[in-house]
Amino acid sequence: MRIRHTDVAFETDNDRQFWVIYGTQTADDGTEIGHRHYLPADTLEWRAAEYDIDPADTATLLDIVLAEPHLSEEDWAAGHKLHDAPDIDTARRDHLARCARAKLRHRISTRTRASTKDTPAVPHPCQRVADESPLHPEAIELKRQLVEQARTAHIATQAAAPPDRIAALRAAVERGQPA
Amino acid sequence: MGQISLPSNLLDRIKRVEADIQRLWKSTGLASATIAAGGLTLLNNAFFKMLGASNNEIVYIGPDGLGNQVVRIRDAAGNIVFGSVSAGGASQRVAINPNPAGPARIEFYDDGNTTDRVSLSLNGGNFVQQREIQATNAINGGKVSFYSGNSVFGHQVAGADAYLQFTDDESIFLRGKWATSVAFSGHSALFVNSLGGGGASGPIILSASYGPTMIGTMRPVATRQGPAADCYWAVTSSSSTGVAISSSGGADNLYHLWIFRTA
Repeated sequence: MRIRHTDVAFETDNDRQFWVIYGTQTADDGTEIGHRHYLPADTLEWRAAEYDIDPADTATLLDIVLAEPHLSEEDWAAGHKLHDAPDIDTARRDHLARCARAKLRHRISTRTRASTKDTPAVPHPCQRVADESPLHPEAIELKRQLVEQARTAHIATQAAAPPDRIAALRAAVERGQPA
Repeated sequence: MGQISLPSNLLDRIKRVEADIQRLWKSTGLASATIAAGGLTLLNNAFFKMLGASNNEIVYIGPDGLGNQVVRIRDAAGNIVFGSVSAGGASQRVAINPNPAGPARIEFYDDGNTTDRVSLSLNGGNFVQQREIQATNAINGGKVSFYSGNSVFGHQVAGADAYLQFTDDESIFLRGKWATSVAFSGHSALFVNSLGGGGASGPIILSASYGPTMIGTMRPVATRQGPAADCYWAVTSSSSTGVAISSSGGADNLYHLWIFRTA
């Protein structure tokens, strides 16, 4: 299986800005089908905030967002996910590992095509996503705080005691409403 | 024989003066007072204060020392149970029944907006809380209304009305439109979008990322809109970061997505 990205467009729909990444997916038997990926413009900003990745490291951020649509259920099952990992370092380590596996499995490349004696070097089409996506430090910090709140709430919810079934029924009877 | 002033007569007069003083004290309110006519006027920033048994303030009306005239009523524990806004400014205030001839009504005014206010009113059995234009009382923002037989929660500006309505026959009405591609920092209960369309001819895979990583499990419901074609399609992946739909054929495939979160 091979994923190849061929073109990138920037679109706005209902005030939502996103990248549309065009490409192909080629099976091992040579069958080729089209691929179109809709990516909200601030996705790189979210990944930088979520996994505490240096926003200057756009190559890593780009690798993540291009690999994510191709992660299998097995990939997700391996390692911790963002909201249930014990810490962000663990979440980052496991997510980078699963994205690296998907990138290798689908032979996803974002390398610049080298120059030849006749043609200059050609940047990868998705380089535009890395270069032009918003990566504002204040926005990343605000998003980091939102992620921290979500992780804290999620972990607390998971640790909460199971609901009292009888108490819920009793309250419903007192309210005169079905539970 | 001339009259002689006796000491006993002087004592009687002293006793009468004392009695007069007691009556005067009573009439000035040191024990209790009654104003049978006229009124009580406090001049020159004087204040009115009522104290409890331990000199704790119960009622205060007057200057607060910061240039504001305030009204304050406390309970026995010292908690303010009624207080006027004293932060200053030209318009920040709460008005209770500003029109004595009108319906029961409370109005909230804010320094930050001199054209709008928020009101709570009860009129004809209908309770309404809304943001409104001061000059016209016309709704200009959020509203919560409890009418006889139905309740409305929504937002209305210049005729554009989005609301959720419940009626007493168990009907539910929803007016407005769904915002698309909204992830609410990973907390959205619903992610709505339409993908593809022009040029998205099969075989093709359409992927949509949410932006933030969603905090729970996303459950996609999808349908294909496009020319009839001998093709098959399916949601081929769904995760906390996005969803993908694959189609074996068809022209200009447009997929409508209704993705709800369950965890």
